[in-house]
Amino acid sequence: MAYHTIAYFAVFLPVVILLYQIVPKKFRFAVIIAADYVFFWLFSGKLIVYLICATLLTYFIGIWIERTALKNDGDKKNVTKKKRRILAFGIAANLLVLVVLKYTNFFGQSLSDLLHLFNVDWTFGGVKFMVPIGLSFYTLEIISYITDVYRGTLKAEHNIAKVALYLSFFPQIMEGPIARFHETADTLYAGESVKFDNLKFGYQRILWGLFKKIVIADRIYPTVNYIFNDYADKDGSIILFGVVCYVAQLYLEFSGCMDIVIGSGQIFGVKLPENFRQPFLAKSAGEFWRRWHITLGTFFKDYIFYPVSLAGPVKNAAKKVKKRFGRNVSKFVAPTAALFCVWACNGLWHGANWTFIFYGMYYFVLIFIENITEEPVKKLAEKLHINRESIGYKIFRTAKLFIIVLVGELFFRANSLKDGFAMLAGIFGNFHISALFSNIHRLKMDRLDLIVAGAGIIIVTVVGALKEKNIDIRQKVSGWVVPARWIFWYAAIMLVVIFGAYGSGYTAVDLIYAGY
Amino acid sequence: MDIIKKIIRSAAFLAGLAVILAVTSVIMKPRNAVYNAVGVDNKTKDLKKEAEQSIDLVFFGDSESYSAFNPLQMFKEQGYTSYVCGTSLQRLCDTYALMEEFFSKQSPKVVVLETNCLFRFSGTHEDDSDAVMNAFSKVIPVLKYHDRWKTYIPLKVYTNKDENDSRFKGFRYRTACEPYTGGQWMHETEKVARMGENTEEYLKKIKKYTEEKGAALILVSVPSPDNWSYAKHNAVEKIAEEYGLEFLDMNLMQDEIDIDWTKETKDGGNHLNFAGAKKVSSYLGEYLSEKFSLPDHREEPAYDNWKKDVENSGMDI
Amino acid sequence: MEELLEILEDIQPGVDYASCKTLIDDHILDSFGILSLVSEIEDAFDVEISPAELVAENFNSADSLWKMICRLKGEE
Repeated sequence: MAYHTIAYFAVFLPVVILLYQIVPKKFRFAVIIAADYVFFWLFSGKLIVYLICATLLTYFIGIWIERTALKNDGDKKNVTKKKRRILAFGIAANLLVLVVLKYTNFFGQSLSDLLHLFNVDWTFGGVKFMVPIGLSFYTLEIISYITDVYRGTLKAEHNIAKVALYLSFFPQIMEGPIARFHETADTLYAGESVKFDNLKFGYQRILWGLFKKIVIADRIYPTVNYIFNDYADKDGSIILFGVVCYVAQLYLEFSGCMDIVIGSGQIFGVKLPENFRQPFLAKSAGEFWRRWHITLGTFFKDYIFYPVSLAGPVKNAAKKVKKRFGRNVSKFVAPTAALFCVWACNGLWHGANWTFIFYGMYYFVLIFIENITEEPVKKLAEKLHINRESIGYKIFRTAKLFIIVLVGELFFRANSLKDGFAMLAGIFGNFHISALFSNIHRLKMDRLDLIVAGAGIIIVTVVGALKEKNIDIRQKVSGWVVPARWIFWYAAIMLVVIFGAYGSGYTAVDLIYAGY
Repeated sequence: MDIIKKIIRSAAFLAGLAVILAVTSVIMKPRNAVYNAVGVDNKTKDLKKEAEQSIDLVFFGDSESYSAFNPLQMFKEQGYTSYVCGTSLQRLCDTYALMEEFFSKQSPKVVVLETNCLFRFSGTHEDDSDAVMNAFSKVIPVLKYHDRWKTYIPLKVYTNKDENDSRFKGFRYRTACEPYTGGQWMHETEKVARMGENTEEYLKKIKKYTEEKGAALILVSVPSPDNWSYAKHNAVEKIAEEYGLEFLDMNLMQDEIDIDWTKETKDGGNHLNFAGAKKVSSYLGEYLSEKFSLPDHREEPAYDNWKKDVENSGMDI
Repeated sequence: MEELLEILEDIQPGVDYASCKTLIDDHILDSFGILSLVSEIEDAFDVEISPAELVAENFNSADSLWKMICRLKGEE
């Protein structure tokens, strides 16, 4: 029952809303928790034990840190030390579960590959773990919570229900956004009645997400699979087309899912943090990541980037560099060290595969270059009298960003690092645009599919551009007279119903194109 | 008061939506009860391109059929005309609908049914992937048939889609190769595989229909380690005997057909590729020609277009 | 306060730091800017800024920055 299925938005969600509404305010939080656990159970069954244990652990660690802090026996340093130990234990315990379940095979395989290099004959057999849904997401939320309690920016929660609500809210559990404790727990616990406007706007947002996900992303999906899984005998232009399709699919799928998630949250009065802010309008790779998967970026910023930058050893190193090379060099030391940690984690977090590690390092290098060249480029532009606000320069900047993103996502999706490089070589070494045009209808989308996908992408682009200018279409529509408004929403719903790439008829068609 | 107004308004909105869904459902629902509506639509359109009463033999089945049976090759080698009415994941309800469609313009002597689809549920509904969606589709058919919007778009845009499908009389010319290394897959057994629900009922209907039209019905199983087993063979053998049908299992004919599984399968033993299809078509083409004494049109001017199609196919046949 | 404004101007010129209240919210200061700012403030005012202090409330305006510096100095 993924979020874009009719089972979720037309059955599960309405039932939860109804139950929530008819139960007395005091017990509404229990309805949410029950819904959370049912939802989790439907995907992961007995693995819900992981979630429950994690919730209990988080709850107790929060209180433990608080108690230690209150036991102020005058020796402040000693208290901090103890607190730090508890925090380290909490983080380590949670990370251990994540690492064991998700990365054992990767590390085992890498180790045996390494040993083979030294002629040691040891082969890693591989272990099959069942991974509960949302593990990567709620682990980060746990780290956020206990670190905030440790830092004193958050009080330890004494009501275990709130901790459970925070970690398991069903719209968020599968794909985030990674929220902070104060953003969800209190509102969910308060159990305010569902407001009509929230219900309406929530479902409108869900509809928008469905449009992105099932009209466009799911339609593109077979093409992406087809090209990435069998690129070897294809022209560079077709591979490039596949990568472009993948970037579109990834963005629309993920941001569409976020629309459904955030819309669902809104119905219960919870304002979940946004995960996307028109990423393709960014000026640089760094800014792209402040607009793409925002909550992951801010998590890394707050819990890795800053702590690493401000850590003693890093600071000392920076000081030494300052003495030797001056401030202009030393100012990059701490951010670069921290940046490296952020991107190593970012890569690994996305999955246990060399492609993801490469992906992380790719952005590390790019953002590092952006940072050290920022000032020289500015000066150069001034010298050459290039107007950085001119249309020409903006087009250049956007083109540059697209190339960066396309190459990054190529490796992100590639089946292996080797495949990624081979595909890149194909694009640059064997590119004939005519090959794309003559084969376009053999790429698992017929012309009508291409038209629908293209038109959909144009709609999403226009809406995004308007949003960047702070024009909200939904707000506009709600100001119209009733008949016009209704026609708009009927049309929107039918657009998804008719042109969505879903259902049994679609499955069959999908499989034709998937090469069945 | 305000809340009542809101409720009434919402109810009115939903009622309006229900009406729209009902109307679009009526528009989108296909004439026949089928499962893969778009596949059937496409095939129906392709069939219109063939000259009336020009086809001697017709193949039905799922992807196994259009991956293995090459009508142009059979024409070149034996001289009779045939057509593959196979559609992806074909269920017998689709087979039946397409059969009616086919016989409205053609009078083939022989109907070949590839047997893989007998092991699939035969009715229009039940797709185990999303039970809730299926339940909704029963009430709101547009959810099931929405994809047929493509059928309503002017032909001009549409015909380009599967040009090689109709050019090759329904055969799919695919040369990709992924070896199958599993070895022998037909291990003799007493076990009898279970057929899809409704299969027998539809098979009865199909048999009756072909008898009425004066065509012979034969069951054929294409070599496919992925899809076939001895238990399935037993099941088809049993039903064929019961209904007095001919059954040719090419999975047991490795010696005669000699598929090289390292080169002649498209996806590791699921479907044959062009090279595999060539062998199967060659063997089966001759077998059918002799068994049913099919005519040879190669010297008839009326079939020059078939000769041209063979020449222009670009296939090495 | 004067010194602080000077530091800010030095890190990223061309912003009216005396009146701007959304340095973080409007993405005027990015994380790199914040880090440079932190190390400058630490050197200039002899305080130690922990990661916990790196939140929007402290960095959104020169005023709030100044308050944070004063508070940290008091804790010493």
